[in-house]
Amino acid sequence: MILVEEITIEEFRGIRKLTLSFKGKNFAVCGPNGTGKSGVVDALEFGLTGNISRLSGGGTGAISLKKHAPHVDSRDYPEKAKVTLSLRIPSLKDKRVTLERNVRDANAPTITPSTPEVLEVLKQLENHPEFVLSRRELIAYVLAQPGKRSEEIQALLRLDQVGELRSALKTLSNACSKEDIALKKVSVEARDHLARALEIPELETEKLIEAVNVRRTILGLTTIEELAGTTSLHDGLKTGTKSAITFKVNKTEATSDLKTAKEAMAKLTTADTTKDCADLHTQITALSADPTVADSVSREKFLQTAISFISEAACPVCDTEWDIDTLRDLVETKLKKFEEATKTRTALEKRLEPITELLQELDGALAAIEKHSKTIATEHTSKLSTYRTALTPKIKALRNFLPLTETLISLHDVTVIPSEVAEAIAAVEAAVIAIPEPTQQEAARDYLILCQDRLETYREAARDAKRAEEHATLAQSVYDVYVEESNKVLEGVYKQVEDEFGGYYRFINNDDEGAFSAKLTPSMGKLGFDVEFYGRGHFPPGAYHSEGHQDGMGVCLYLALMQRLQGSNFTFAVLDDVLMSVDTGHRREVCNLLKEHFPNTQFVLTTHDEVWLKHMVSAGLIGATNSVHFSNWTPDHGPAEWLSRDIWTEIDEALKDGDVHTAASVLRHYLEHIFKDICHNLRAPVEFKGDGRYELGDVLPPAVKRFKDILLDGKKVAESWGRTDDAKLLEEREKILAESFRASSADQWQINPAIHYNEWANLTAADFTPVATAFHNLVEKFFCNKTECAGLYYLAITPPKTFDALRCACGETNINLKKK
Amino acid sequence: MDTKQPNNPVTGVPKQAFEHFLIELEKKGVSPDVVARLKKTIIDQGDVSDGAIKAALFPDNNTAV
Repeated sequence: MILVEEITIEEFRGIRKLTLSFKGKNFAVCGPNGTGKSGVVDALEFGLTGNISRLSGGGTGAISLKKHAPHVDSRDYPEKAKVTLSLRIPSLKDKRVTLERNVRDANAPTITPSTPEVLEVLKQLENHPEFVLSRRELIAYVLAQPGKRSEEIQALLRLDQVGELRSALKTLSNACSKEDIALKKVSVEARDHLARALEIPELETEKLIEAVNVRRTILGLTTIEELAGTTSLHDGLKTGTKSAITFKVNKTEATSDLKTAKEAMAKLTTADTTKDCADLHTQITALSADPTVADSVSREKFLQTAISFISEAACPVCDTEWDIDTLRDLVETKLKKFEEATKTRTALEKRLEPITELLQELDGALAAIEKHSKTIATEHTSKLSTYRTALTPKIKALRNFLPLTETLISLHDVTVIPSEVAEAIAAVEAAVIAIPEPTQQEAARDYLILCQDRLETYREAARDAKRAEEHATLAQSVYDVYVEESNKVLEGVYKQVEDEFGGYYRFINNDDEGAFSAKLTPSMGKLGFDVEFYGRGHFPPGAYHSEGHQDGMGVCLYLALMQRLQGSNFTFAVLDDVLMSVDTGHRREVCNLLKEHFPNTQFVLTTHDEVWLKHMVSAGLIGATNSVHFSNWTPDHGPAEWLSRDIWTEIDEALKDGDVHTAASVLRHYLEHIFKDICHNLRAPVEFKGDGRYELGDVLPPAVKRFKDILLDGKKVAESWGRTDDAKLLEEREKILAESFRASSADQWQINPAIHYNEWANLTAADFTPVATAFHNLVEKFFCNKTECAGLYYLAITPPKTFDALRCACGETNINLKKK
Repeated sequence: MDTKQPNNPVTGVPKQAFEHFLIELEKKGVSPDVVARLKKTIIDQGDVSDGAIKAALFPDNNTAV
């Protein structure tokens, strides 16, 4: 993976032009909300992957990278919006690489050098855009519903393929199972057909051989001893003679068909069937009379149908992507509300089933009679076809059950067979009887030919059914093995993540949660996440833990997941304002966690809390010069940094333009910012404010007083050591400081409102210029005057509160505060 | 023209899961040919689509599924 040395951002998001030097080390971006921090995060993500997830994820509506990544004033020039990254690749012997990417050609960055090994590293990065952790992910990991959390974490761990394969295997298994059932039915029908042709009640090999051998003996053919897969029932029969009958209808077959049809009619019109139909009609009438119950049955049936159509990872109606198990669970949960409706519907459908089967049987039998009728009783054919046409919707209505009105109409007269049908059957029967009886030999020949024909049909159906059964068994078995094995692997992964997460969290909360543990519990499509709460048991993170603890959990979980996902390749991460609620007491531990557990990972952290930034610096997570502090943002100029030299130039330029308002505003905001820093560095006592909002009047006087006291203390210490020259110099510095303070008139604020900073914006440029100059002089007293250092003075402290010295970063200033 | 994008070989946790799955399939007595075809499809080619899995399991295509 990579380390970022430097980033230059041009005309991108809210930034006009900005260069930040990370030096391959941890870096912090600090600033109030709306000052451009997220622009830096977006630029890093865009530069490294060509994408900005905030502009391309769900819920972004009409916002797009192409249209909205460029600065608003360059929206029509996406080629101007670009990010240039200077990278170092540790795995390639710290090779330096420059990557430049503009929004117009987001997928075609210019990479120098573009050797295959460099491209491979950058491609890996494109494939792992999860190096940015924002509050969105943090919430998704910690506080989301188990299904959503599972989605997010699976996406982070690249587990989508695991789910996709499970879905594909399930789809295949379902389809094979359906085919197996359908082909089994076809096979059973073919078997029944054969049995009827053989004129035996059940298809058994011995009985088949016996029946066939009777006919073969009549024909003088050798008997069959066994029935193999290729045995021909009419083996040895004179070829070229399909049937001895000269008529178009085979009398034997037609007689058999007539018998079947009459039996089917008789079964449908028995007293029992008629009574069943009447009872069902009464019950369904009562059901449909209650609109609430009828509606429940309709909804329940719809949901049942929906479940049967869920065979892939998408809604069967609108194709919205879903995890297949989550969608099934959702529909099943809805179905539970209709348990009574399910019972009612299932019971009625079960009673309708035999009636539907009788109708289907009759329809099949009449189809055969209709075929004969077309040859030997044509004038009666329409009677049969008319009835069969009417029968089809009845069968469909009874099978579908809904709508109930159609079921009721069908049930009303389903057992009444029109007399025309009986007439047609009688006519066909009469015509069949009229066909001359075949001789015994002809009958035997016809028998063997018909049975062989049906045997072939049955064999083919049985082969298809067997193959479908094998496929279904294999597909089911493969699916079962996959589910079991992938679950084992995932459980192992989650266990590792769980252990690492717990370890990290204990590290940062060792003072009060040293026995903390967590449980990640995967189940079909979900990922439960419970955390231990002070020995009281495991609960969801949001149940009892504070927001600050939850933030800490989110970061720990992210780090554990990244460690599991990338291992030693986890060299770069952006933590975008994700630690804002971590309390002061645990910030140092968070810094130590990142420093000690991830020494090879470069973190870019953003925060709107400047105290947090100070913690990062003082804990050594961020180098003294490895941060940027944005003061404000304007659409014309983008984020403004708190850089001293730029501030005074900015004020001078504003005054030259006569813009006192801007000059006053910049000066006041800068002084508030810098004197807060000075108070922090010098441990100046400031009157506490609950809301943490300190104005210039709150921080400037205490900072100056504290610095003066330090200089005077330094003078006394120098005297105690006999260093009179140093003592004199310090006394001189204290006087100069006091003079600068007086020159700024800040000592008069309390008694002279006319010179108060609230009034600066009302001054003329001529009046405000000396004010700015005076404050420039005053502020400079708190900085090292060496150009290469230019750092703020700070107190070197031996904990808890021993002030050792006043120093600057370069060591030029080192005022001893420890007396002899 | 075939516009289908080639899939990348599987890596990371998915690869681990798929490998365990294939080893266990062989242990369960599933034909080595089937296992080899599945390996080629899901690990080497990174293709876990319905069609690819069907072709790997039933290469003779004699199913209406």
